[in-house]
Amino acid sequence: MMNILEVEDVTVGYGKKMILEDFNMTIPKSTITSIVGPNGCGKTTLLHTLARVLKPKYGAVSIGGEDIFSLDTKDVAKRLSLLPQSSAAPAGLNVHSLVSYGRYPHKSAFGGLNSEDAENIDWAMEVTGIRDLAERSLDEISGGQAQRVWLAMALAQNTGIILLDEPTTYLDMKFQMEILNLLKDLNDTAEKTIVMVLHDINHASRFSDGIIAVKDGEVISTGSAEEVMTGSILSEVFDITPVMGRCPFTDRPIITSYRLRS
Amino acid sequence: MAYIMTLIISFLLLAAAITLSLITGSVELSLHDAVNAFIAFDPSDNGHIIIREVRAPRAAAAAIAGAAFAVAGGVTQAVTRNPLAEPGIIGLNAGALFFLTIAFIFMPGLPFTYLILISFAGALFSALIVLTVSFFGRARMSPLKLILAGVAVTLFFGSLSTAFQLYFNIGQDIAFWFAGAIQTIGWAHLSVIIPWFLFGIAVSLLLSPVLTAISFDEQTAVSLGVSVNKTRLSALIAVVMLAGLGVSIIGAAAFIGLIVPHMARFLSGGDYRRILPLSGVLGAVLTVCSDLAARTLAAPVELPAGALIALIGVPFFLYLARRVVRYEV
Repeated sequence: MMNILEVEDVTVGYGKKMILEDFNMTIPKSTITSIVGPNGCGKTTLLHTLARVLKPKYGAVSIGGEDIFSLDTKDVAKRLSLLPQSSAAPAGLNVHSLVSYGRYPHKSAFGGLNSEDAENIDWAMEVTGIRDLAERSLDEISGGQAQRVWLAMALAQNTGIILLDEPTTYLDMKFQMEILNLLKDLNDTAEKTIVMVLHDINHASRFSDGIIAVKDGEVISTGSAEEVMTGSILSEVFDITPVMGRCPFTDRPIITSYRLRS
Repeated sequence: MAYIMTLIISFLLLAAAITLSLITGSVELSLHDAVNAFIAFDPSDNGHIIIREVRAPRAAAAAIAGAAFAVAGGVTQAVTRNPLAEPGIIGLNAGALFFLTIAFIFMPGLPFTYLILISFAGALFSALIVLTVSFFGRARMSPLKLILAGVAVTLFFGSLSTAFQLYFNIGQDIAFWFAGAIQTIGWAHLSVIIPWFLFGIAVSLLLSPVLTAISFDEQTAVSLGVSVNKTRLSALIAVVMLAGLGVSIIGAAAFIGLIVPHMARFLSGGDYRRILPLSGVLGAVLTVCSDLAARTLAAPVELPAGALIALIGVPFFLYLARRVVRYEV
């Protein structure tokens, strides 16, 4: 299986403070990978490094075997999209125009939307369930609706790789499941590679081919849900004592409840 | 479609404002004179000469300065992601003022065209300092760094200018120059300014799609494939050109750069491809009207156009802010 994304000996951080040091990771093509770990462990830093938002101090990030920083950033944007944890838009932009900015990397500066653009935008708005909001302004809709709008923008980019930073935050339980099903579906039918930071570890277990558990900038464990989702590993990563069970739908390991480690 | 209509109406307003300022003044002229001055010029007709050599360049200068400030303001707001930004925020006005102060002290009696160039050079100089400071070190060109450096440079040059003006007692000359630059402007001066203007406007309009993308948060802009720093730098170069020439024509009326983009945003939505062209036309309308009012309201005394712009603009701006600002900043 080919590795579509590779992180090699990467040291990265903000200013003088390094968050990840000599970090290594590979993401196989057409898989769903979840990054889990406690607050401040470097998950978002890792995702931003993969998305070339942060430039590593040392080491290399490659996409399809090529150094991501040597490629034209617009070409990278045709292959990789990112849904950040929170996003901000210029005031007054309506939902449809915002989603259509997902087509930005595919167009020349003043080219209008062609039929391929229109199809991608329509599709992205359809699957995220925001069709009815098209003419609304971002400041007129709820946080959960806004989250789906941003997801639609990332999907309209129609890239082979989609990176998502806590895509289910702000969403109610139904929409959480809809979004995760949608991502699974995109992975199954369109062979998209999906890398996401997930807070809900049971969702990670249920939807991922691979899980990377990170703590203090180090990979504690990486592998399938069966390999990573064990009581002892979770106890170490999250500093809790979990009670493990099985997901009734997928038979994968889940945490049924937990208490603080005494 | 609604946008195209708005743009057409704004252009018609501009044409009306310019026509009105061609025929209004101490010598009242007719529409007929205004048309003939251009299509059937008669060098022995004083009215034709007033229109061609005095009022037309003045109206053109007002339109150019207004459009330049307004477009520069829109670009500045996009680049700094700050709805309260205007071109003065990167130190332009203070730099222009400082250079003029120096010129008035050491080279009194310098011809007008040189003064325009000097004020332009001052704007460039201070903007260059701000850009350099914000370009190096951590968080390159971050909006916050730009604003902080801009405020610091503004205070620095502002206090130097004040001190020099007090010491050399030239405060009045400076004030007179700022109020008077537009009164004596002619085609010769405009021919110096127009190429810069066209260049600045062209760069801004070419950048407009990227400006919308860059005014998303940083991560989103990068993941859409925007070269954030490159865009900021070219956008700020355009701002320096436009606001620099604006300052040299009507002084520190950068207030246009704050309010007009908001009017345009209200009328056209949040996309800079729409905001910028509309800002340009509306900025021109506002400034031509203000300049017309400035020279007619208290004739033969001329009021400072900048003050009138604020007088007309502020109530309107407050009305807009109350009515339409639903978005949280």
